[in-house]
Amino acid sequence: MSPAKEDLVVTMLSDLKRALRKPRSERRWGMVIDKRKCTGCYACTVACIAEYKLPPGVVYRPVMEKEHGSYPNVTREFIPRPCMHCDNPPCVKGCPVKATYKREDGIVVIDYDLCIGCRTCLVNCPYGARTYDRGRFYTEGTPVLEAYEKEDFYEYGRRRNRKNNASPIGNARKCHFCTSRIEAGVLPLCVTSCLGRATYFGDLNDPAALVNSVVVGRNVEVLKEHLATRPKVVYIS
Amino acid sequence: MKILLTIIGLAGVLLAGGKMFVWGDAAVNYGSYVPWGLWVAVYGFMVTLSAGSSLIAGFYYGFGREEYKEAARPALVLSIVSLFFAMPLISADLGHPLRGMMILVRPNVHAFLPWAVWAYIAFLIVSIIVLIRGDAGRDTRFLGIISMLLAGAFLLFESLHFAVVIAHPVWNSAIIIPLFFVTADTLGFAVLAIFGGTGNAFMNRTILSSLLILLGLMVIGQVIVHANSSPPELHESALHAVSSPWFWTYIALGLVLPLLLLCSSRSSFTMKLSGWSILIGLLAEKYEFVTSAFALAQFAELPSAFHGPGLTVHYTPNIIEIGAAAGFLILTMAAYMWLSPRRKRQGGTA
Repeated sequence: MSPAKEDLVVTMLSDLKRALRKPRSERRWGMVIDKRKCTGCYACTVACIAEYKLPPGVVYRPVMEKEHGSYPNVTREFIPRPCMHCDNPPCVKGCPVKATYKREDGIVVIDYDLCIGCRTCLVNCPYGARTYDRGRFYTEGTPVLEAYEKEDFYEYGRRRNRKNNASPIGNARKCHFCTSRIEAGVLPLCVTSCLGRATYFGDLNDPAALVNSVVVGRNVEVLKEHLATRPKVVYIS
Repeated sequence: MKILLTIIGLAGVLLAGGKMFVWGDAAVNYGSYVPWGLWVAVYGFMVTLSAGSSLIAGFYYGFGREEYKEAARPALVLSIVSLFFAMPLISADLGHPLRGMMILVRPNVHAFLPWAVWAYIAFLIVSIIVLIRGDAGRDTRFLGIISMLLAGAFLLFESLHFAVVIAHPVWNSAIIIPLFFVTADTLGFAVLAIFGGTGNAFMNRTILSSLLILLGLMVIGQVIVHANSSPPELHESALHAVSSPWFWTYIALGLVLPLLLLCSSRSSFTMKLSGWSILIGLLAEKYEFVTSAFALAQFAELPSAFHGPGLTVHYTPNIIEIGAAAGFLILTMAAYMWLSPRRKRQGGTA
């Protein structure tokens, strides 16, 4: 009887812990999404919304559906679309107040307390990865605004709350690779919630990490490669 | 009339204030896939109008051309008030209006917006000094030229703010820069047509007609090129244009009607009428320019991937947006009327 194969999440968790032992400047976080394994269950989308109490109109990781071919030779693919955390991010160049910037570990972040809400970054993102928090609530207009919508949440290592029109209301919002979680040694939610284990995450500077080995010999796809934004999220197709 | 316009304008300002401090962004229709809407378009129009008017004022204040003397002061006043009122309008568009000052405090020098804002401020200071000094002379000549150059600078930065957006191929083109400048020049000469002048009316009419034709070629040429381009974003924006009433408003009022008026009659009334027609037509063109870029989301499949307010490419400004935009435009007119001295009525033919 052969030993049980280690779950991919367990492998990625040990990769993560190894990466965290290095200084932040030596890490370079990246993600690989295997489109062949994505079943379009939206678990990642929903987990992300629940974790960050995302309001109506704000989504960090929608899953796009694309159909190819014509009957009877039709295929459908699912394309989860987080922030690409580009190495050459147009959103950072366009932000007039340096509220969005690339950290030394490559994660593109937003400082909610600096963001003026001009939406230039939304306009500049070629992937539509940013959405705008207009201060809506899912249960507004109902007899009771449900308490869960006004609960605290953690983003960029800070406790946040959308009560009293406070930021991030009026700010651009986007996927941040669950910075608070990874710094605590926990994988991003979209990775752990993925039923098909289609999402890989890790340090691109670590040759031994699963996120690097999984692409070897595969057909790797980069969204809008011609724009030279150099995304750190790539797809296996 | 001035008082009535001021009251109507202030009502629009109240709507903008309501959005800023009471209702928040939930009260407006722009969102994530159409992040810029009517307010950005009207702001762009007012900034372009300011640059165009400063050109006319600069002919006299900067270069001492006496034939522009009569129109110079009203044009400079219009240039100042148009830019001045564009600022609060675009502040109302911000998610955090009170943080707008951050652009001055911690600017990103790689972005073009802070450069534009600095140029706005410098332009307003220099132009107000020119206005206070009064008639053109040796001492105002230098400031008049600086004022014109600063207007050119903020228009350049404003056009680059759009032209460098790689996410939207409709804007990501060098033609956006001359498009902004030709639009500004056309608006400037439209303002001259409205204010009149003692100079060479035939030349002014010829310049305005030429600018209208040039601008028309650029705008219509862009639509034709986009319609025949393979990138879906370009194709979709061309479809958006030809199915939009704003595009046809521009064709009718910003191009055909003024050209017909300018060619058919030499009376000052038709000059003024063509000037007003151009202003309305180019306002429609600015709206179309801003919104047609969002005709297709960054991925065609994106709007259907997740549903929610603002996650759509269908945008129609609501009553708050229309009221506030109209309010700021009317307030600009009212401020111009308060600040500009009453001139003697011009009669006869131009």
